[in-house]
Amino acid sequence: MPIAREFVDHQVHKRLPPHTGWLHVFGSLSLLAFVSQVLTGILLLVYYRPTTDEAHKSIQYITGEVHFGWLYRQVHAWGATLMIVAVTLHMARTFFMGAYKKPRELTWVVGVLILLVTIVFGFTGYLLPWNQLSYWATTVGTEIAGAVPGIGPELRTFMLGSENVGGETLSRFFTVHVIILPWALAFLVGLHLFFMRTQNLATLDPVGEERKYPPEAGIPFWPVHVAKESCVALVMLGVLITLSVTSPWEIGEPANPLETPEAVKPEWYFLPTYQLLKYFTGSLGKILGIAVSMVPFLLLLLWPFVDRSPARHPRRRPVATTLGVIGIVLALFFGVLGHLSETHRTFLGRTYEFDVYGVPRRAEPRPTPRSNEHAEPGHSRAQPEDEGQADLPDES
Amino acid sequence: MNPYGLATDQLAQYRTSGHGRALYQRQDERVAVCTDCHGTHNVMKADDPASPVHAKNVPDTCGRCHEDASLMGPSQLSTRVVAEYRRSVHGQGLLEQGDVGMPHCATCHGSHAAVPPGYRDVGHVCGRCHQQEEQHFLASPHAKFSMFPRCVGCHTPEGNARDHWIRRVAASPEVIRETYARLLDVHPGTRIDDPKTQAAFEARREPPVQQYETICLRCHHPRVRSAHRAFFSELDAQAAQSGATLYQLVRQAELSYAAATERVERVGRGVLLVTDEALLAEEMRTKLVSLAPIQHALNEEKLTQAVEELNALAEQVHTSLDDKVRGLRWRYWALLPIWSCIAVFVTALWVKYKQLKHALVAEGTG
Amino acid sequence: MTEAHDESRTTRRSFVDVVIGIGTAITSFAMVLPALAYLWPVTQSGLGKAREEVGDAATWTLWQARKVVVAGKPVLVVKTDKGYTAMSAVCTHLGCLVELDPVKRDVICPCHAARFDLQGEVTGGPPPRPLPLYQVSEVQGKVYVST
Repeated sequence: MPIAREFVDHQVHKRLPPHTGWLHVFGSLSLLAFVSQVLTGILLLVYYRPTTDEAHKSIQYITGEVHFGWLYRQVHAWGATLMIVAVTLHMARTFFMGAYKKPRELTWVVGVLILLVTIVFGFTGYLLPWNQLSYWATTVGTEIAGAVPGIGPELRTFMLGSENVGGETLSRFFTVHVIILPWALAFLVGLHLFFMRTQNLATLDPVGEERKYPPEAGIPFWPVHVAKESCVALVMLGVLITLSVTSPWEIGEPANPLETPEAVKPEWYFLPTYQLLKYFTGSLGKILGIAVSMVPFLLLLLWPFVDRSPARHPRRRPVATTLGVIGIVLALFFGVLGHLSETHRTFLGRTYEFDVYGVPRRAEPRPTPRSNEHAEPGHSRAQPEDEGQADLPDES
Repeated sequence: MNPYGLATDQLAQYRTSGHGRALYQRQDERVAVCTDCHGTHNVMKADDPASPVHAKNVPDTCGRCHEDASLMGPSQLSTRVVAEYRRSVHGQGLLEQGDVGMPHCATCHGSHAAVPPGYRDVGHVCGRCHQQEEQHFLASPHAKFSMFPRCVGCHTPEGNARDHWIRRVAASPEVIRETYARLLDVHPGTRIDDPKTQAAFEARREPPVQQYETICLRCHHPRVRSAHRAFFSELDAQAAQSGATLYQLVRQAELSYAAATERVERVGRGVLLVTDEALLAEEMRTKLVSLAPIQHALNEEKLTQAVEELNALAEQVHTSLDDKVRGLRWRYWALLPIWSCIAVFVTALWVKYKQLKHALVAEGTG
Repeated sequence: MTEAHDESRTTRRSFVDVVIGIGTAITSFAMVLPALAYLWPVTQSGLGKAREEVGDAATWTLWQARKVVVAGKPVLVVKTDKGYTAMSAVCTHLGCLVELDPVKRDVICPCHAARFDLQGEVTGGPPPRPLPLYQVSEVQGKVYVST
């Protein structure tokens, strides 16, 4: 059909603004990560069984018996991290370049929704392997829902499908992860791309003073920008495979409701919120905590309507830029605190014990536990194969 | 009673018991009779949990008299026996863990007779359940000596035949695994053939391991005063040596088992399937538990053979795991060609990008 | 001279194009082929397959026992004069693996002398419960055990 051909042609060879550079690859990287997750997810679905009896065994089966099963499982698990990283970087780039301003406010709002959906993807997917980490991270993660005023316990029960994490939870999270969220994200991404394509990428000119650049100065999406993005995509693929081989996710022990591992924490992208919530104790405190932790997300969502200044270039909008940097620093700060909390670390020869609030105290050197599953919550890495066994030091 | 199929020899048996002999031969009425244990109008079946002769209630029933100093005083019987029994491995099993397969007072001392039918004395009753141990013991050099104190001679803290506090001797495989796990926490990567490892392993065992030789030395030591020593004193050195060897063999086997099982568990938690190795580990466990009875033969060859079988299984486990782990190596090697291809491809794309940009985008931009 | 220059530029460009073409092909294959291998069924050990092959019927002598893992649990399979019988190999007392006693033709546990008959019932020793039985069948010369 000539109309379709014309449309595709126009889209493909569209010219992007001249300043489009390496910082503009994160959007397509996010999309690529999503596509990768969908494809590897479909493959995993072929062998995965979403019941408490079989889930863990099916992961064992995929990892140990299915040809290349180990690869697809690892790519999917690491791909989740990668997708969140890509989406966050894309968001940061958009923020600092003021690309969310008029007329692109809706694109930004849809983008924040995409971020939220991605995070929920990560949360629901985490339960599916049904190992100790899955079970207890989900328990800890849904605990805060019970503190929401008024509807808390009912909300939590609704999410979990029962009083505690169990077969019903697995079923619900599976449904959400495998059919509801993919369609939701596909819709949101489609919307996002539609807006982005109709309005083209923003320049760094202030709102209302956008200079028109001559078409020949613009960068054709195909083949120029795509060539650049392909480089990044290939490197991303290489990184994914490397991580799959060098730092694989463990099969872990099957979920045991009767045995809590030490210091279970949610995955890294939840750590800032998780750590922040610890400082709000008491029933009133918890409500305040929930409100406070929702502020960043609400701010993000409504930011294009809060920030009315016309400037786009980061140097011409010091307030927004500073706020953005503060936000990132705060997130990093609480994230690192969350990571260090309830652990025993040695820095520069001195050993410290971090309590649940992340406050360090001097402590006696304690040997590192062998099993990473208990010591390093979040991503538990498989032990490197045993070689070079050390000699026992003198016991005297 | 015969239409009901019930035994009728209880009285005859009772007459042979300590209580019966005191009553019938010495007319001493300060003994337990039928109603003292079974009740009067409230007689219940023995398997009724409320019955005073139900397994779990027997120690209390006997203790009513045997823990009472005023009652035991005249016969000069110890009032500590029931308390000792409660702390013993059998008492704990019966009263705390509810295992009614555990022996209670009547199991060893006979329900009505002095000993269960067919046994010479209480010291010989152990073999009723610990059949393997008795079988092996009968093949040992001690079996032919009638004055050898049998089981209680070694399995009580001081060799006192009247000590009812029989303690758990062999550590369960689970305890062994836990001990080894704790050892690894402190010294990851230890080698089990390193003697320091063995020392550290023993130091961490809860309850602590009792040294073989100390038990052998209860009799096989020059300073022991016993009339019987004349018969075996020249075997002292050999006995102590033998004890030490047997001890080493068992500790070695425990470490071997613990190391193999720990490795199977750890590898299985990672990214490999270990079903076959897990089955081998189960077989090792069985072999380990069977070492305890074999020791009673006090035969180094027999024990060595059993330990070697266990070690052979461990060897199989380790070889199999080595193979699997080595198979993972090729994945690392595959990264080389993959990254080379990526590097070449990315370079080509980069060059192409530059060319296209030069050709399609007007100068003075980007 | 301009022509030669043009030609060399064309050759350079084409070389890069060729490399990109090969790269694309390799990447595509590298993504599709493992996926196809992944989807190829892993026969002999499908998940949830609670049926395990124990061995050939022909090489199995009478009163010989073999152990096999079915659905993660060890199973003892014995060829008796009345056919095959399979029961859990885990002694219900303290978990040791049982064996066949070829002399008495019953099942014995080496740990505390527990005895079971060929239907898994306890005939002696401390075990509180009988050994659960498994289904055995012989199909086309091979013996299979299933739950």
